[in-house]
Amino acid sequence: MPNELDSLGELAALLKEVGASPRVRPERVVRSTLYDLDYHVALIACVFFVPSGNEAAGSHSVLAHWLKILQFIAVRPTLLTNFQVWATTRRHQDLDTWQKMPRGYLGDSTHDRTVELLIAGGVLMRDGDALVAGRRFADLRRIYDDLVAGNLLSSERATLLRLSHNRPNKTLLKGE
Amino acid sequence: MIRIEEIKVCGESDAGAFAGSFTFKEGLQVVSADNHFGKSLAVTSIAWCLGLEPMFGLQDNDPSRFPVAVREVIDLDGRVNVTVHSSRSILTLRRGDAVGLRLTREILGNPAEVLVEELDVGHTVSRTSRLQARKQTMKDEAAGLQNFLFTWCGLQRTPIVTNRGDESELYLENIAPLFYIDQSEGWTDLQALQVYRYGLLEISDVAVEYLLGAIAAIAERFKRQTVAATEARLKADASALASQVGALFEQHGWVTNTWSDFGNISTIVKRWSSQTLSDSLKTELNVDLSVQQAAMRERADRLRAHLTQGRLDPNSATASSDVSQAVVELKDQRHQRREELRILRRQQSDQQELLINIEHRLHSARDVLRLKKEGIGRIEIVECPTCHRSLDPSTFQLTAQSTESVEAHVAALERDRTLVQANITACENQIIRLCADLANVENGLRDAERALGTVNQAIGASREQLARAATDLAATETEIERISETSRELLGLQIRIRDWIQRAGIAETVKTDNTDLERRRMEFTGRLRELLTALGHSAILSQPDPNLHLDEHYIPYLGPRRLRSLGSASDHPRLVAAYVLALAVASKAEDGLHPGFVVLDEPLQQNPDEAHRGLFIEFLVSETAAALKVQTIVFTWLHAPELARLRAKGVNVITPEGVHFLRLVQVPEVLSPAQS
Repeated sequence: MPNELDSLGELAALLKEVGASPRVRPERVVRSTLYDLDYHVALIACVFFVPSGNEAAGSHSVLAHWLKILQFIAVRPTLLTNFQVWATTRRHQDLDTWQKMPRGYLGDSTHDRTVELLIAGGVLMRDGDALVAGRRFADLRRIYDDLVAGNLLSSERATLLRLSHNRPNKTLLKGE
Repeated sequence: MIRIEEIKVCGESDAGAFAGSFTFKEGLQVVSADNHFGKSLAVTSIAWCLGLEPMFGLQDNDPSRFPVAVREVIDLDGRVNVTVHSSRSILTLRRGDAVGLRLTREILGNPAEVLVEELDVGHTVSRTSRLQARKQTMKDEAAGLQNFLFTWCGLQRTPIVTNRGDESELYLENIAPLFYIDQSEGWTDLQALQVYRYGLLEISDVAVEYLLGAIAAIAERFKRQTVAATEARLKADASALASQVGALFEQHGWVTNTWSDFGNISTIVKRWSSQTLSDSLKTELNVDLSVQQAAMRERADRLRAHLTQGRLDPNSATASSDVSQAVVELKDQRHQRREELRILRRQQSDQQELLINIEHRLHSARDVLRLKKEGIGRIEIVECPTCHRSLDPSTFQLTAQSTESVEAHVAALERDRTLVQANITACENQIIRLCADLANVENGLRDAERALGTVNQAIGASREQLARAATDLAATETEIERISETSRELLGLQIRIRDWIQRAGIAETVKTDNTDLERRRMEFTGRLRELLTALGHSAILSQPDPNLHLDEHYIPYLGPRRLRSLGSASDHPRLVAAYVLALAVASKAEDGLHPGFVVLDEPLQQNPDEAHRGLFIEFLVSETAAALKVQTIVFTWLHAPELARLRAKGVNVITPEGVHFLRLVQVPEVLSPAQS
């Protein structure tokens, strides 16, 4: 959190200059787990391995943009119903027409960087628009198994399971 | 102590009278007869004569546990399907003082009544009566069978609590499963079914304590359950009262937590007795109904005076404009309130959605914390697949948060949750106030519109002024009536609250003294260990010093595990036999309330393998079995060598002659006068 604390310090100094007496409590300024690398790796593992029921066994391939949508909604399950209604009722859906799409979606760079790291580490590979299994893909499997055994991220996994009934198409992902 | 002296079944058929009987002595005795002989018929007769059929889930007076041989047709001495006209069971009991009791109950006939014959020492009938087997069996002091049996056997009457919180009594069928082990259900867990069949609280525990003679413990338990039931009733009443007060307050836009049902009884009593409803309104909400009423009365008096004696200005046109202005202002107020209400509801909805999000984030953050603390689900090293250098996440502008950072985040989310919950509550309270305010404004608007209509219809300034005064007066009197109605409702609720506080104030506490119960429990445990060892329970024998103990529900445990789940499957009947025998022996040692006999029907059929048979025979010839001071009747079938071994050891073995228990009764030949 050093950057945030510096910013707060600067802000406090500015306020003092105009006669205010700010009280800074750094213990209250904490970074959300939404920006945590481990959390995002675990989420990506869940996206790949939560059983969808209609995938061929052993094929691990997910469209990169769909992966981003899935993990984004998995951590915000209140969006799920609205997303599903939008995705199933509109004839020519694209993300631009999803009215409740949170503004933070496009700026969600933590996920993009995590994917880059996993690609660099050989866990995933790009295959056109899709992300497929890399040489160290087994690491993701191990992570997912550990999560299931420890009953961790159960809410995220439940959301992903419900999302597995929605199939992505290029129109839907056009807004990316 | 009581013992069974004789079991007899008899009746009449097309082929003539038939009968069969077993006679028993004190101590251990084994009845050995072939299958289909009719042993179970004799065992069933015991329960039938004591009126215990509900124990097997049957309706009162339902004899369907008996075979068809005593209900419809019977095979007698080579004749098959002989129609039975009538049949009955006869059970003879003998008390320690040699006084006997013969109970006769019809199987085919009228089973509702039991013929009770009291026998003196010389088997002479000293008194005969007919008692109801099931109808009011305990409550009817004159004609109830169980009422009579409890008195005759010297068993104490014990009150117990039903699961509805009402008072009931311990019946014979509640304790019988602990000394009458029936072939089909007794060897399973019949005790566990009692709660559902009779709807009695903790009946299994009470039954054990009763047989052990721990009457003081049962009385304490009863008192505790009664107090708990009373408290539950008081709490339900408090909730009903609180919701009524809440509804009235909400109607007027008054928000306070004083009159909620939050907390236990003593907390509610303390809170509700600290002030009255009207005091609470004055101090917490600054609402004084008497002051409001006085002000309204004063206003009504002024209006009345103005209407009847006031001077009218024939040139003033202010009446109509004032009334019109009031309508406009009230409409404006209504619009503002509606708008505020709409915004508040939207805010409340948003806050609720936010709360759900925070709850989810909190859940996720706790998961991430666990993930970091326990090292679950983390990629240890990410390295470049070509140069094998480890990749630093910071190169990708990524950070893995520390455990402390995630803990701080969890704490921050908890603070946020508290804050949002407080906001939602504040929103709810404000909505209540606004709704009440809106209702007031709408009432006022209705009155004002009515006044405007009346004033507009009046012709001339004087009449307009009179019409306005009259409508104002009517509105004021309506308001006075409304305040009076509220005061009456508050008073009614206050009276009920006072009653409730009074009832709650006399709630008592129960003191517990376990000394007597502990002594009896230790005796029971010791006997159980001894009998389990004698019967050859494999889990007990496998440990040099078995840590056998009973939990608070008298379920045997070996160390931390239930004994029932230990050992082999054939150990279960051994456990049941040891349990009921230990209970009887411990009761005898502690001068308890056990009737004094134990019936074990077909213990070997529960697992007919050789090892099981061998262990049971070993038990029957053991010193432990010989030392049993209670009448123990075992119905089974043994091989000839087994019988010989038992007899050699002095065990009382009964081997009835013939193929079947029931046989035609030989009519005595008519003797000639010379012979006679």
